[in-house]
Amino acid sequence: MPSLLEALLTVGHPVNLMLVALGVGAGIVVGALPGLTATMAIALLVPFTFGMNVVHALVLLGGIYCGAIYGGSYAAILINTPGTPAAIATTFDGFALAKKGHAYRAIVVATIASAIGGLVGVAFLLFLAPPLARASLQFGPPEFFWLTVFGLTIIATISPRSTVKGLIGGALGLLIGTIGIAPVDGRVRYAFRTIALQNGITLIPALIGLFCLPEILDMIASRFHRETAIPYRPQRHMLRRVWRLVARKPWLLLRSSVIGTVIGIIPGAGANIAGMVSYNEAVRVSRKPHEFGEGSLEGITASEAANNAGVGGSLVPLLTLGIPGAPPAAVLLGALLLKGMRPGAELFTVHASVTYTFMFSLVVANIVLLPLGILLGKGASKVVTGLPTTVLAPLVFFLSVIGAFAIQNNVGDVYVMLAMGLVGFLGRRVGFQPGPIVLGLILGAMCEQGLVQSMLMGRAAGTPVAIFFTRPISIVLIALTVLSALWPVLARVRQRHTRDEAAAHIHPIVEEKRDD
Amino acid sequence: MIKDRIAALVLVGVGVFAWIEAQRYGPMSRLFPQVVAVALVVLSLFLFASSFSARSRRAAAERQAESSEGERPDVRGVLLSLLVIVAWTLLLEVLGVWTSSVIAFVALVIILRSTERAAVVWRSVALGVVLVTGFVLLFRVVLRVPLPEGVLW
Repeated sequence: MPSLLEALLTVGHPVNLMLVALGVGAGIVVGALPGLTATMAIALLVPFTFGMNVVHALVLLGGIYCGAIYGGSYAAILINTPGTPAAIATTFDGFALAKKGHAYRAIVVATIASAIGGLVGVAFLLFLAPPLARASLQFGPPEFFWLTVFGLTIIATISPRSTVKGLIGGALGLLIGTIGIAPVDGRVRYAFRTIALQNGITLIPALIGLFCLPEILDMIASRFHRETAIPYRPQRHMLRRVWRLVARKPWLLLRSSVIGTVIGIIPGAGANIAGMVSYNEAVRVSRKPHEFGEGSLEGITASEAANNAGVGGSLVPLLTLGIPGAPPAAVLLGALLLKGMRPGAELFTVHASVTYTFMFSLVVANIVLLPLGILLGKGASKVVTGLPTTVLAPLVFFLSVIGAFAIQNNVGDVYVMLAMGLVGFLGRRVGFQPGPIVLGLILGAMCEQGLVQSMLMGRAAGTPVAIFFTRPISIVLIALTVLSALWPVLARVRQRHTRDEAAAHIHPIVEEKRDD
Repeated sequence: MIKDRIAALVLVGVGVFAWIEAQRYGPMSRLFPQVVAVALVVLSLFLFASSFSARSRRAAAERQAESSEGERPDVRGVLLSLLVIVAWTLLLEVLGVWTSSVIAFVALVIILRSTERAAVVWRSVALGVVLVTGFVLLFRVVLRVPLPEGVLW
């Protein structure tokens, strides 16, 4: 109890408050640049904390983590390129809304959802960290395999025009993901004696290429938008209106935040998958699923609440067990160890005051994110929407080039970005969307590892197949997978049934009127 | 519709090639790529077959009508821009990020210009140079990313 009080007082110190704001601001800027992920934001800014005391360093890094995950939504909304992989699902509706002239509205929704999601994630971290961390350790290879299969069912949601093309895109992504060193026996695959391909296709350059280059070329192709690529329509009382709209969906916010937290807790899953799963669930339970992909505010809310909730989630196994839930948390682990703090029971006993100060600083970061995000978002949307295509198209490609390079300081990644961009551009001409390909690419390695390791485990136990279907968490995940895969069919049947019922109601009325 | 068929055939080729190539690997490292390759071939064949269905032909006709209603895309602009983008990427290490980006930026501004008014074009060029310089400095100095310097900068 004294530790909690001490932590509250420490976090309220003006220097700490300033550091949180500074961290959030820096995180937003880095996260908004395509290619610079939250992991890189923390890694790039860790050296600045070497001279600081442990509290100042952690408070700053926590702010950067929250800000960077949220900042990814700016690029997703304004240029259809997720600033961080966590914002992939935000592109589906964010950019559609920007193209209608409502970029700022999309950013405000993303900001509110991110702040609320972030707060829910931190609440879980504060109150339920130890039991949640223990539960996450129940995830073995079969559970990871089913988690990825469940993730792949999202393809049906994100490719409403053609499920077959979505599935082909997913398979292509999975296949591209197998390039490089095999996760189990270390064999190099599909590298064709090229050193650049031996390390595999790096996710971020591929993601930038798939989303960004087709968009640039489309901007160029449409002479209609030659003056300004993205229109801007200012609206009066925007904040109040958007707040009312978001506040009307408390269940959506809560559900997305809980999904984000839970997936964030599972080591290796992270915010990338959290946003997608949450988006899928939002479409599944929505009364207006047809609006998703066309600029739905619910879509942005679901994705952003989940990915920011994943921040708190990813810190649960980190602080309690020393296992990072996501790559940015792994960099934070390094920073903790540098400061002489070993994750585990020690953090909650010997260093309790510092640990709780860090947790409370995340609460402050998510509160600070609201005004700062809205302010920076307004500026960013005005700048981007004011740029003519002649400047915006080359600028976006320039940012893609340096973003892809900065991942590993490797020009090979720029070539990967370009190649994947061409694949994305040609694919788009034929009706293939980048979402399923990226989803396959993200889930591929985890899926393969889960499959092969489970088979090895099963073979050792004499039950090579049964191991996939007999573990309790696997059974839950299988049920979720079947439900998610069948949902589009069930929804269509339900829709038809409702239509028939409505028609049956109208006919008697029409006939009665005719009788009159 | 024809596009779908060509894409399906290309993807069947990719799947078959991936399956054959995977046979060279060990049992553990070929299992997953082969499963995915089979899925890719089956789905692509399904896409190929379904492109002959009446429903697919109707959808293709609707798409065709939609695209003919809109303005014709600037194919020349896209091809020229692609050429610049590819050259930009290949010259990164040779000329350096700043030089190659400024040259490519200017080339794209000229290709994409919607007006012959020199003042407007110059303004876009100037804005481009300022933005490229600003971001190169941000990455090199503040974020300490060693962007390629090449023979120039």
